[in-house]
Amino acid sequence: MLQTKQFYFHKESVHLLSIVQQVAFNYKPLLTDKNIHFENQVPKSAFVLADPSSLKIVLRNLLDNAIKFTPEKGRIFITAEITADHCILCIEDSGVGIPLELLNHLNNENFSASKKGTHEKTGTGLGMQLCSDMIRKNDGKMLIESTESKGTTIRIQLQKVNPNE
Amino acid sequence: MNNVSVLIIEDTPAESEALVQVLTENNYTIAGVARTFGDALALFYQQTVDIVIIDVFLNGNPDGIAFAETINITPDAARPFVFLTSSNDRQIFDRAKLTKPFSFLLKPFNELEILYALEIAIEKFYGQTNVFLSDDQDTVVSTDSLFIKKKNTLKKVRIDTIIYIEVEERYCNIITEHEKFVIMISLTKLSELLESSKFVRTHRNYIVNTSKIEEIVLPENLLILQGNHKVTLSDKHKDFLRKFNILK
Repeated sequence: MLQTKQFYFHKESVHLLSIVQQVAFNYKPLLTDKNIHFENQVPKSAFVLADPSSLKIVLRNLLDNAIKFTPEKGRIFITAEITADHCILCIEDSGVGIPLELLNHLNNENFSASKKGTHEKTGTGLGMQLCSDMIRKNDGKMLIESTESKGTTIRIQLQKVNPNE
Repeated sequence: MNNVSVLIIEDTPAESEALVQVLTENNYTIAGVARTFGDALALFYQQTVDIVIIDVFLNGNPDGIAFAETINITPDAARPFVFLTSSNDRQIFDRAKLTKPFSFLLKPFNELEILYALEIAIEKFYGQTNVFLSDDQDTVVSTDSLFIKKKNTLKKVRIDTIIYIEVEERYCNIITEHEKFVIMISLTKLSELLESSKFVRTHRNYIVNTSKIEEIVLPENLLILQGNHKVTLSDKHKDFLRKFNILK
């Protein structure tokens, strides 16, 4: 059950680099405060078919988490791989990582949202599950890779749009 | 080149001031700030407006949508617009969707979001998408202007000030009454989008604004244009002359 306040959902060609820039813009102070090295390395040519508002909500949440769980002087890189049909957006941090049980829990698509077992500190109120649902609504897929004390990489696969299509 | 002109319809002064500041810093001209539906319409028809930023709720009523509905009625008068809203109401979104907004921004938004939304709105309205963010094109063509993205600023050139266009590979040199500058757009695309009655191809490398032709010197394959610009006329392209009534 998707509990998001968003009612207007409209997929269109979205310039990935710009969207990441816009979301990261508001986090500049936080990143500087924690001395985190942030880089937006999304290729300029990446366009995806997605609803911009929900994509921004997901990115805000993931970046928020990355910053929260990455210690001072850490690293957060956002990149994208472009394949024939997809763009895979990767948000990689050098943070504390996600414990294995929780990781499997989050990557399990059949799991329905519940508060049991989620160890959330104060945050936006949206969980990873919600992000995953929103990505799926955009006909995309989300995969989380993580190693405790080393870091986490979140991969979001979205439909690619060819420029001038 | 001129600045792109924005009309702001927003009833909260703090928010409209923030918008004015961001837009001015980014080289947009503010056509005006309207706080009510009535003021909005007045400013829209009195001033030169290229794009409108509309707050959905004005003084408690969804008048922003009514404004969009109104300007959409006359295709010639219609302009691209962006909705700003803090509203989550489903019915509002449904009604707003019917006006075919070119972008929907949820408040609070940041500087980059609004600038992006304006560019996307212009692209969508004139049916030429993925232009401003691509590597090989920087110009959107409307019926009376060219919208050109130079570095991070959007500029506008009125088509009726263009005297001629000289093509150079993937670039076009635009020569107007007062300036000369370069844009990135393919010749094919440009020819498709410019009205063929107003702009004719006179040579492999030249497109001329017919209203700026002052003299045709056939024996020398030459066209003399306003401002004493001389442009070559090639044999292959002489056909267009038949469309004019030329006294022999």
